[in-house]
Amino acid sequence: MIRAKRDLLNAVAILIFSTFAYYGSSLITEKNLGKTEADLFPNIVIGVVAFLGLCLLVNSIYRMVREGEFKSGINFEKMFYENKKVILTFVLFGLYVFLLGYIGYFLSSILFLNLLYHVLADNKQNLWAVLLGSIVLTAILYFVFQGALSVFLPTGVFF
Amino acid sequence: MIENILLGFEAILNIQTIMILLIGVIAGIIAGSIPGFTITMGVALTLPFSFSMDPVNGIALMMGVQVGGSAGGLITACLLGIPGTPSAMATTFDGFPMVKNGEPGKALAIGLWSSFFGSIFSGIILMFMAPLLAEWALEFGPWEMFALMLFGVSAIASLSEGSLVKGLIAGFLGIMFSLVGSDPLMGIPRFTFGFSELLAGFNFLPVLIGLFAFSQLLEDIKKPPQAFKIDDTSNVTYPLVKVVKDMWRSAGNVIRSGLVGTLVGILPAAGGSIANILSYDIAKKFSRNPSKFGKGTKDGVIAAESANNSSVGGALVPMLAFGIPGDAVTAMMLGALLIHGIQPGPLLMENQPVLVNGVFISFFLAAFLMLLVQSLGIKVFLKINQVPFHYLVPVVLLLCVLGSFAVNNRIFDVWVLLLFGLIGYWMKVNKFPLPPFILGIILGPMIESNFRQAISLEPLSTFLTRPLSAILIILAILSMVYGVYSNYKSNK
Repeated sequence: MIRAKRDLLNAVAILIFSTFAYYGSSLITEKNLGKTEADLFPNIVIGVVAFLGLCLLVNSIYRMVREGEFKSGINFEKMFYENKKVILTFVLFGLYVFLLGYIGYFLSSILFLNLLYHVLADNKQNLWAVLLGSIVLTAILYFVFQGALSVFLPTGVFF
Repeated sequence: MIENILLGFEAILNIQTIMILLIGVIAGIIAGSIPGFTITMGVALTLPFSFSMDPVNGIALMMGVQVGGSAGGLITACLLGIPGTPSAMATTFDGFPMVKNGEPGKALAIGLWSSFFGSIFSGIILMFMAPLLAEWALEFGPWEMFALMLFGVSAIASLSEGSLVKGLIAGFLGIMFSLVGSDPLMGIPRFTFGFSELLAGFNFLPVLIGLFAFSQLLEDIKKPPQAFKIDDTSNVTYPLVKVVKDMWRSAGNVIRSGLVGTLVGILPAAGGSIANILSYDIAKKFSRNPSKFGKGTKDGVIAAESANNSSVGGALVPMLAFGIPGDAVTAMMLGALLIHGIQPGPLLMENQPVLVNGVFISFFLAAFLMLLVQSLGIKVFLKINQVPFHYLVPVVLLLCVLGSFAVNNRIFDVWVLLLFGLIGYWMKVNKFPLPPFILGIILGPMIESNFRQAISLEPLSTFLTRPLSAILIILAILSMVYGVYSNYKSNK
């Protein structure tokens, strides 16, 4: 039941995405340069995705009707609790990417590694060792990427 | 051909490449043996390191990871009954009972040698079959190429686990994301929404890392892999003479399982996990003592491990011959070739014979190194498996970031990683298969170019009047009919 309801939401999301993509396709300029237009293939693909999204919508509604229940909702609170660590990891990661350009690779990575450890570890042990480990790891990766692979990592306002 | 093979040897047999292969094999065994990690994830994470290398070394690195990973899943499958990778599922059926019966060394040794023979067997088929198919594919026009790629995507969508509609949605969504950037024929910007970074489209690397590594990590964070402890005192050694005797007595099983694995690998979507289970089932049917299966017979381990490793070589056949990957890992290797500016497909054999033969030879060499490393380092790998997950995840996430950043030295690509990580996680949670999506992204531009070239030259009906193109389109439809049928059967 919950699976059918989730599929209903997925189908709606796909249809909204198709509409957005169709809007994007309408922005394509200089269409008639070649024998086939630049928006021809995208429109075919968008059409197919929208059709498949409709199929999923119909299928999920059919499954919900067959199982005879519309009321059993998705427990968002429970869902949040189950996904708490995932959401926190995602937020931390977003923050890390944002900070990467401002405070540079070193500080942002050490901060990210330590905060993520706090989110993931159920039994926190020796925090100084974790801090030291994160500094060593950040430094090793810095030397591997900058020294061996010639990838210059973001420096930010500090270093 | 001989001259090209010798040139391939010359390209691979040097200290630098062998060391790179060795590192790849070790990384693959580690990735394969840690439950929750996958070979695909291992290959995605090693991709950034291949940038600064020449294409031969870059592909050798990933080949090492792939071959090592296929064998690495064996360790936890036997010792703990938990497959390190999905392709070691059937290995647990007899490998774990063998360990419980007091034969851990035998289970691991038999599995390892079976993996080795499986790799060698499929490598030989790959070496002879891929050039023949590529030569044939040279005669393909845009109609046949379009139909072939459409067949690839639809077959993967239909054969992947889950519903057909979801598989197709995944495939076409992948094609849709591949359309971002400049139009392949006229260079007109599409779906860039003002971002100049998107003019060249999404870079494959952050997309691949996001889809396969980042999303997998998020899933593992939600459901951490089962905690385990391996008994360090268990005897994991087994005399070589006994292994040779055991393998010799089961030579028929080794060859049959290698053949099953290679053929399954060649088919789109049907990767190591299907090969592993199918081969186990066939071995049981052919066995004189089928009742022993599941209770700790070496033939079960041989069938499972020969097949999952031979499927690796099989999956490389369509990638090298047609430019169509057989599974998610080869899709990534294809992406890696594209990053290096090499277009896989029938012309690759003609234009880059040294690279192609280098791929063949690195495949064989990786099999030898896998045998050596796993034989000597088994106890070390057992220890790595015990590193707590909350230490591993941050390290891997940091590698994901650096790998994505390394493509163009810009933070924009790390945001792309985040976007595709989320898409991948959403797909996993809602049971949308990932392989069709990635295949759609990689093949999208080629599908479009061939389609538009074809309709520019001849009317649309030509797709059905050219025999091979018509057969491939019919096969694509049949694969979808099969998908509908198997969905209907499983719902019943």
